[in-house]
Amino acid sequence: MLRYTITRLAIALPVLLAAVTASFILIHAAPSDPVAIMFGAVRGGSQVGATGTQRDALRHELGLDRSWPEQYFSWVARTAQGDLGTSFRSRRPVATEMGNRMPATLSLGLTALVVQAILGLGLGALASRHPGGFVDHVTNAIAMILVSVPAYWLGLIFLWTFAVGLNWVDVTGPPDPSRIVLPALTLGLVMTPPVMRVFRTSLIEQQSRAHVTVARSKGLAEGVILFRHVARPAILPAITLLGISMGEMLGGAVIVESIFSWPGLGKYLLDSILARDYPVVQGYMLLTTFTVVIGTLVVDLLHGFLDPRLRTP
Amino acid sequence: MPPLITSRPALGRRDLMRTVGTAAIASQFLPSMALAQSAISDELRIANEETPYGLDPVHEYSAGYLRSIGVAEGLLRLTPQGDVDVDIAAWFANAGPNAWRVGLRPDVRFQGGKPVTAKEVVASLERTRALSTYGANLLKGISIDAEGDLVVRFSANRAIPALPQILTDEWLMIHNAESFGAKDNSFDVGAADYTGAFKVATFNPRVQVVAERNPKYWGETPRIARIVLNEVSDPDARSLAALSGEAHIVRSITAESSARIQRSRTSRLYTIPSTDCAAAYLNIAKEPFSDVRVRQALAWSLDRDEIVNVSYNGLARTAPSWLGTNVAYPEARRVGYTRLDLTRAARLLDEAGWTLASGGKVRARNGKPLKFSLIWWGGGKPTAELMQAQWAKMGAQVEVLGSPDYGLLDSLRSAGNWDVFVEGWGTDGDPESVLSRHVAADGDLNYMKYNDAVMTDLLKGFETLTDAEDRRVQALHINQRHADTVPFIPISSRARLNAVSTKVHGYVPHFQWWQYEVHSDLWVSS
Repeated sequence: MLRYTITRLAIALPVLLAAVTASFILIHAAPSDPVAIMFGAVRGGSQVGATGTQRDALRHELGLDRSWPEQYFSWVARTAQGDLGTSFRSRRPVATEMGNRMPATLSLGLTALVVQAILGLGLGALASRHPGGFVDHVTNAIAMILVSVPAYWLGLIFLWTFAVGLNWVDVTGPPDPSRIVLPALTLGLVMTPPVMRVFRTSLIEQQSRAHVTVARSKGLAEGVILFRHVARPAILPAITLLGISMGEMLGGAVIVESIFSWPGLGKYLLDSILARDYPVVQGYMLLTTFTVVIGTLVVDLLHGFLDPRLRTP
Repeated sequence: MPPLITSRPALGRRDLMRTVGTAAIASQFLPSMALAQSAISDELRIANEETPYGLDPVHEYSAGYLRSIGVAEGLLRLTPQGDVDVDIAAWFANAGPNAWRVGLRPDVRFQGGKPVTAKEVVASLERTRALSTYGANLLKGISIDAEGDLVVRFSANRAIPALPQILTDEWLMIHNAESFGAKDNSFDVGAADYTGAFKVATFNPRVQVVAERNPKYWGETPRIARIVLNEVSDPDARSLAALSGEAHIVRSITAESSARIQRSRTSRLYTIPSTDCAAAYLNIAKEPFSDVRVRQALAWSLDRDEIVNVSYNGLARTAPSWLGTNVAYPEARRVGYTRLDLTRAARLLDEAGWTLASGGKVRARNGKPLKFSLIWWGGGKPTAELMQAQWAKMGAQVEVLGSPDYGLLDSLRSAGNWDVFVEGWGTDGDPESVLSRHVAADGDLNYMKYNDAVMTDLLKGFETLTDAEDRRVQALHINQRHADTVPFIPISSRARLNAVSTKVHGYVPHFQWWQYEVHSDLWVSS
């Protein structure tokens, strides 16, 4: 297991490098540049603007007048030493900016993950009890609705109902526990259907396995059969999906964070992309890739724990 | 210009009688008045699309926000009617064509307690000049000196008749330079020392600013004790914040949400008289826009009323001419393209050689169709599509392309790869500075490379005009020349809509979003 973990971590490095290189190229290839946007119609005052010389001076200060390869290698070298650079807009270290917003995103992401796990696994188990029955059809319909509904719409409906109609929650404010329920529910709900359907299918498949028939014929209690012989192997694909969700939560939370004014990384990323804040976008891509890589590794290790067959070389 | 002094008139006998009588009647209602007094909320909550990145006025994304919530002040300010008035200054006076003197109020202090003297004002402005691009450009060529404790002298080697307008700018807020230090110091709440009625208590960049009443404020003590400014970037969420009553003032309500606010019992919709002018900029370096008749024809064939009704739910103003949306130039509404005139447009195009073949829908000249692209950005898609349909009626084939992202437009424009694009800019401020950005040959917003000898002479005319009214009239001449040569086609103002809770009293809308929404007479009932 240790050798396996080390091997996986070693493979992660080139994956990280490939991902951040791709993000560097993509963000720099986007039209316009941060200086033009800073002094453009997005923000510029009406009485005065910035001269060409001033814009060039700022480009020089931000290192934007260097060639792409020069900027890239300089960034990679700094990142290897733990320095993610300075945000063009706020003039603060990217690591500080992201660190300030990380708790909000983590709390939202983990809460949404819990919602997704409980609903996905719970409804999936319910649906698998009587395949083709009434409950199965109802849960299937719920999955269809949830997969069709955009997070944006669902979030606004929740706000309209609970903030405007019932006055139970606030639309704005600091990221405290009272405000996390709706955004986590929104994010968790729209990501529930795949987990639900995969777990349902997996449970049904396991139930028809020979080892389950043997366990029943031996007279084992139904609960023991379901937990030890059915659910345990059936949960593996669902856990894989939940692991992938961890990475998606970081990126997919952009819209939810915007609607609920949740000051997390997603909203920060959106603002940074529009402003061409290259260091922030690159830092975020590095973080997301790292999260997905580690998340996948954790899932694989969990697989090994849950399924002894995977442990044997 | 004589000194302007803001002072309160003394009470006369009639005022005294009125006061005594009112007090006698009021005494009958003292218990209920006490109840009413206790029903005043001490917190004002504002929701805005953005909140500041930093607290330092030299930071690109801080200045206006802090002024709008009463934290920061300038020497001078603009009234809602567009007149220059004193702020922390007590008076300002012309000291010759190349100089102005500004007198300070003797009782103004920074929030930390330090008196605001002429030396402090000089230090503040010089710090802004050194560290802010906009500040440097506003104060370019202007020397600033202290004359004693309470007078600041501004002088230059050229005439500076527009100095009062310049001093109202959001970038020139007076701050404690020593407290902030020699570099950008945007995140230290303790260093944020201004003169306003409210002092920053907590700051979370791009999330929230909380400001509390300044007990050392030089002016009238505000009735509100605390202001909470929250960032709500999603426009639908902002309208919900207004409808739920959670935010007392919500800025930048979209036209789509305006109907809901208008129907609400808890909020009122304010249409802020914007001085912006959204316009269609034409690439006059190439055909067909190099011909002024084509430009005029395109201008005559725009139905501005329809654009305002469809794109802004009727909540913006048409711009028949460039300055037609600016309250300071009411005459400008009678100049330029005051109506839709397809007959005139067709005649102009025929004269220019762009004719319609029998049964044809698209005009052509020498076999080349009248075809061009129209680029939008931000929320400009509905307007662009409407213009496409309107121009189609007079035989132009328009391709609409764009993106909410500003970068696409900027990139195409930089490469010269554009025909028409729609963009909006403010028209308030010193007319020479504002107008020359767009129509001076070297103007930074002269994307079209417009170079007109008559316009150049008109802009030069500002150099000898020191009287504010003379400068206003000169701006109107420029406006007329612009209408005649039409390098860009004025369309409308942009709708600026704010939702204000019915619990808010004393709200006064202002055409500059960063001018005082929050003032001493504003209060909120609980």
